[in-house]
Amino acid sequence: MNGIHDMGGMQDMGPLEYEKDEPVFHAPWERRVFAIWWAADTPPGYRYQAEILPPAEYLRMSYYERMLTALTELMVAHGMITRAELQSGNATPGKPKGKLLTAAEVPTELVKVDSAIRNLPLAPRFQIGQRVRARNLNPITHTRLPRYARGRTGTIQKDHGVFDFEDTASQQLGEKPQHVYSVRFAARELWGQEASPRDSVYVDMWDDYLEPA
Amino acid sequence: MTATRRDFLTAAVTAAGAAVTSDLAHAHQEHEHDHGHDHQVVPSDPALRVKALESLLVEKGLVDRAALDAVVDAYEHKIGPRNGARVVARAWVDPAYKQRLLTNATAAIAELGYSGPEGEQMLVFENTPKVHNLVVCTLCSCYPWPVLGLPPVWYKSAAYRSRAVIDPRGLLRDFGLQLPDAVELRVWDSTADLRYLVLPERPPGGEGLSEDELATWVSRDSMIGTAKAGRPTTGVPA
Repeated sequence: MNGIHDMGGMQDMGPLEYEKDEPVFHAPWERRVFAIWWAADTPPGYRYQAEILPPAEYLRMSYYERMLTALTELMVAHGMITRAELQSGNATPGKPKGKLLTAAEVPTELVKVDSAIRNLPLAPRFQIGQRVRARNLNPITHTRLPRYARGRTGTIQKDHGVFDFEDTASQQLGEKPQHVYSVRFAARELWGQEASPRDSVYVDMWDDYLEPA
Repeated sequence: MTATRRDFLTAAVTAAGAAVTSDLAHAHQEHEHDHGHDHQVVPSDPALRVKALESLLVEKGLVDRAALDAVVDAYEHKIGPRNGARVVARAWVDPAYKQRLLTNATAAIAELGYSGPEGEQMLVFENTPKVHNLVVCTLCSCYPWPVLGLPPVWYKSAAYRSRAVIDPRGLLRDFGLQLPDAVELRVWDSTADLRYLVLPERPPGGEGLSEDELATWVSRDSMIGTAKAGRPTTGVPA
């Protein structure tokens, strides 16, 4: 969706606030929400829940406030918890909707390589060096095609292999595996002649985002 | 935009808005309809909301407190930019390792024992006197956790995410890094399932240092591309 989260190329979004010797977390509650997010057995769709936060709220909230709200919404949407339970603080008896991660399992999970790459013999639609155009797509659900690249022409730099398609997987509409490429866009193609002739932006793009140029 | 789309968006935004304001709404509802009981208000302070969520999930058997403690401990004390610095230092002293790192980054990083969530498919880009690489995630805050840990606040900020693709040289100047016009600048937007690490140039002056000592010359920012690597006392620009 064309949401506030799709920030590439926006201007006047405030000064860069750099904190020296920044701690990993800034408050104890940030530790807890991150750990819950990490450990809980939630279905796909977390990022979409964060993307549909009201834009003014998205900008106001810190990263971990967004995590807390989006995670809570995701859990409610999939019936892991209910609003009544959140309100009362009391769990309704029943079988948990999700697998419990134990402390003994954490060390293994911390280093586990759960790659999204799929070993499927799918032929790539595009070849390295080929000129391609990012399609002008405006889905109302989750997409990884940033607005600034749509309609722009670039060059296939690398074929990363076959991955599940996040646009559909995140909406539980199927894995739709396809090739993902690194596509190079010259800064002048994206931003006009004022941009440096030596700059470029590389965007990872699924087959479905591209057409021959 | 069709009516259907507009309706969908309205519904989605309303639903999300309801989530944010539901604490207040529920509190009000209680007040109207629940006079016989103690006044219970779902807290709106994030600290209290997280506490309530954690208690509920523990009670429902969906999270284990000791597991949460172990996750926090790992990301606060074990998984951080020192890991990436060791990868970089090894690449500086061992040309064969550097070659493996640039051709199969995930496996080369795993040789040093680093792997896990948000590092499943790694790519490493080498900064040279002619080419500078900079990493961003414009849509979210994607970042290579096994080698850099969790991202700093500025990496997740609107200011960084918006500007890195349209004005990277101006952004780098704000980091104290003036890139010569002749240097090619490549910005990598982490839009898919690949995660990126920059291999900074080995700075002059550390010729006699061991690999471990060299690792202290590698700042987190130099592995994102917002700084150059350098002597630790002066190497981290504000």
